[in-house]
Amino acid sequence: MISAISNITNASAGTININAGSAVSNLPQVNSTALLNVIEKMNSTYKVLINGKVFQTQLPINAEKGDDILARVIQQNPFTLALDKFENLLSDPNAVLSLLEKLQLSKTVLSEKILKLVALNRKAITKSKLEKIINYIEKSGVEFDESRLVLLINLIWDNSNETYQDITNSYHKIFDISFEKLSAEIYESLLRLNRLNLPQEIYFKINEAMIFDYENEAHQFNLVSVGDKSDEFLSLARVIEGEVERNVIGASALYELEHMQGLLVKYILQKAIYNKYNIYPEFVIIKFKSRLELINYQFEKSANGKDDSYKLFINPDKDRFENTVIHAVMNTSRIYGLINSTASNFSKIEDYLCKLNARIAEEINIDSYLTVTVDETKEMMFDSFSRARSLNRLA
Amino acid sequence: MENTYTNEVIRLALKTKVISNADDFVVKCVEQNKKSGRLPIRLNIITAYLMNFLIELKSGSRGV
Repeated sequence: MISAISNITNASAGTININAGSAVSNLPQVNSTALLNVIEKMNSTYKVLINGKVFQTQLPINAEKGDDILARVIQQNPFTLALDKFENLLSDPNAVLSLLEKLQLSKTVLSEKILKLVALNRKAITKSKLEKIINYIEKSGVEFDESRLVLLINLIWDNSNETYQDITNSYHKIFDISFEKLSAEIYESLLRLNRLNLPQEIYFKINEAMIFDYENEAHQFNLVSVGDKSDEFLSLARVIEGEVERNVIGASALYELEHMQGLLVKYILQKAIYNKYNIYPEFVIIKFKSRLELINYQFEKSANGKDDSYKLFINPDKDRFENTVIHAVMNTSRIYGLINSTASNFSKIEDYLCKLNARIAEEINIDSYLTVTVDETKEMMFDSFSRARSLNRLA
Repeated sequence: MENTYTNEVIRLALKTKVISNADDFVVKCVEQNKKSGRLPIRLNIITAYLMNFLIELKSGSRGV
């Protein structure tokens, strides 16, 4: 029985306003979690069942008939629901479990982790998509790091069921290894190539694309090496193609060059897909004291009205860089950052940052507030949810 | 210009077997990344400063 059919008054981002008419007295409580069951989809509107009443509304997501969606009740009159405001529940493990229970999903480590990431990335918590991603991960046999999980969430949530199959097929091939592993393979291949006697053009292009040479004679930073290397990698991949076609090198060199070429192309494709969702994983190979070291880091872009801001997270291998972790947020005029290190490094980093803040302000006209902290429970900083909170505090 | 870039990336991706077919989604991502996906140069400059900082912290040279 249809208790109330109401028209949408507004559907923007993750919030929906429903004219509940006479049904207002039996609506779910403010701040409670409502379960929306999609009964029917009619072009751009849906019939949804909430607390035993049927409402007709638009939804800011592409839902399927039969799907269950969770929403936070913002207010009863006008009846306002938010599909993307669950972050404040994430610190309470019981709340997360009760959301899974409400959707009748199994409470596993994986389902809990996925649900948290979905909420943290402000996607609607829909049962069908949660089931889809959990099934995909369980069957894939691939170990997913957080970046790849976030990317997969974006891909599944932003695409219809029809394109889902194509996307997951491509995803499976392009992301068979994580970005971090891909960077490590490029680094290892580079070390092997350095032991061969290849044309100078190849070494020149490798240096140009990814080597941050601390001891270069000109004392100039190689900015290409710390940014997106797609253009340079395409150019290098083409030079390798030419060298392979000339067919004048030995079998082992040929194998290594072709291996590197595949890695470079995979980098370009992974970056293109990550970047679509404002995630920018990156790596650089630094050269100092005649050694090469790999550092991975990540940028994230968030568009807030007129001013884009960028988060930067550098978490080099703990043992090799004095247990130092860097978080920063930059917009067009300012950068705030926390450099977390050991107590023994505190004073020397503090002195260094004074000079660095002045240099950033002078040379690129950005007010810089990089500060050092010593956090004995620094392991917390490696956890994504703590990290998100730290970054939000910075912003 | 984006088209030439995209065509080359997809050609090499197929040749190196990183993908087995050029589906629309991947092609659009590559095109979009070339067109508007890059980060501001100032972010790269700051990243370079921070890399320099990490190296100097590790090596104990130039003031750290």
